[in-house]
Amino acid sequence: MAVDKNMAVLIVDDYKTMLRIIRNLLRQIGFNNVDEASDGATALQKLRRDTFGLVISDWNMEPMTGLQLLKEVRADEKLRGTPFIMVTAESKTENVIAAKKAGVNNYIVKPFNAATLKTKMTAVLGEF
Amino acid sequence: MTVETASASGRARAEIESIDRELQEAFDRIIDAVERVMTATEAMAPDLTAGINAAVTEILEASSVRDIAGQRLTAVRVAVDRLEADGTRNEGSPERKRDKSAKVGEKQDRGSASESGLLNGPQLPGAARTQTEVDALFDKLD
Repeated sequence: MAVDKNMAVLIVDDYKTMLRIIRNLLRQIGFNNVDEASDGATALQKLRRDTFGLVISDWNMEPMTGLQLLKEVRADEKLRGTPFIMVTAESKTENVIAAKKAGVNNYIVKPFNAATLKTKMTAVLGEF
Repeated sequence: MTVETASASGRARAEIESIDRELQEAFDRIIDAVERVMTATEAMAPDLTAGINAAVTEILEASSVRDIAGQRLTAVRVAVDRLEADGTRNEGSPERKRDKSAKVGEKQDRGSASESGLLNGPQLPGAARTQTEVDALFDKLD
């Protein structure tokens, strides 16, 4: 099934520059329905209120980290199927293992490029 | 802690805050300009915009250094706190020493207790895993 580029994408990062970068990279590949949150707790509120086809989240945030957000999403019956990509500078083996164990769909290491973002989105959502 | 140490750590914190603020202001301007270019090119014929879009992508990619730099500055802030705490350790009452050390520990343990050890921020160049290495590990865990 073709990917609906009008689907809502939630991006989560505590650096507003990163939110703007990811939003604009998504805009370049045709995803314009983008919402954002600056921490995991705000993201979770938005996820419970609205419908999103993809979450792209940083890990290192306060008060709720990206990993905690991922665990909350996977524990929530209504949200557990939401595709979730972690975008983080945390590249240690134990981080990748913890994220995978928590149910992340893909893992992008910062700094990343537009091609990597598109490749990971394709791997998670299908060709677009 | 000596007056000199207190003054040096205070100065270091002020410098860090200044770098952080100035970086943010610069990147706000960069992204503002990028967005104006993106909006302008939307009205142009696609064959005219390919080169511009490629350049815009490159600027956006390079701008992600803001995040990495910010996390590194946080690591420096923690290091300054630790050095200051170490300086205090050799003076004052045992209670005061414990209190100061505990505060530094708290700052380092962001997130839940279960994530302790997982929040390290960016690795130094050469020590970080590449995307290819992470992909290989990620696939191996399937």
